[in-house]
Amino acid sequence: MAFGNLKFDTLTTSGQIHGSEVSIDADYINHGSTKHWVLLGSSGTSVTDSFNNTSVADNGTGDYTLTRTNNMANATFCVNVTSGSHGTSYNVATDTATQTTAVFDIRGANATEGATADIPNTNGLVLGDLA
Amino acid sequence: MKTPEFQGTHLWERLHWAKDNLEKVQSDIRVVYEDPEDMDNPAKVLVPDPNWMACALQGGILPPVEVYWELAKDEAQPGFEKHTRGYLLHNTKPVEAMTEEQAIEYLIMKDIPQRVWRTWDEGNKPKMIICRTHQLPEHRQWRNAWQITDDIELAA
Repeated sequence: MAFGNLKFDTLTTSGQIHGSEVSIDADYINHGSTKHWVLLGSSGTSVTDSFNNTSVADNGTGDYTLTRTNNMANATFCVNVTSGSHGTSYNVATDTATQTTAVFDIRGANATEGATADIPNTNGLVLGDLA
Repeated sequence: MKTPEFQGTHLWERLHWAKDNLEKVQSDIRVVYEDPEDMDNPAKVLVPDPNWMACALQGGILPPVEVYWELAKDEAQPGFEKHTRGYLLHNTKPVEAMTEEQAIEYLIMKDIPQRVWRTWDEGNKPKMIICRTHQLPEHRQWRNAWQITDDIELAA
């Protein structure tokens, strides 16, 4: 069963929060969507799933560089990283100093031992403007 | 499945099409390299993304690698704030279907610094090796000490 295409410039809702009609431009939805995401597997030595990702560079223990297919427009995008492990001493962060329109980094660490660490199911996503 | 005519379509839209229509391809090829500007750090291992590999094998989706070089040149300019030639990603004729080996070559030229791959076999030892996953160490206990060995034997 085919539903065909729905084309619109503005989405208008009943506005249940404010009690009045609310309109959302289609571009607004696009601007707010995730532009690049990746779920790493096997301690960063493989990619389980992704969108707009070209490769992962395994730079060393707990240090990965993710490169995207469609560059961002600028290097001032937002990165959110985390891991799928609930180990209480794990820290996962990004390194904004190395971020370019093509890449972002993920760093994992074991805070108790004060050392970098490969953390299972590390993942990250990027919000911002596409080139 | 035939790829739609994508020249002029935003690359982002093409990736959505690929995600909806192509199966991921997990390659077991890896590229090990050492960056001459980063010699204090261990060898890096480049891992191809399975969704990207599917696009490369399908053809008609990815822009030529030279497009990424042009964008990198723009970004390297002093005072760079924002890409103004992003249209190169979307309007340049996409590359045809590649073999897995060709896709890895494309990936090397896209995601590894040119100072590594342009002179990979110059110097005392190779700066870059293409291998299979089973040729890498089985565990990561000494991951931060990985280097390309001095006496590596290269396949003809």
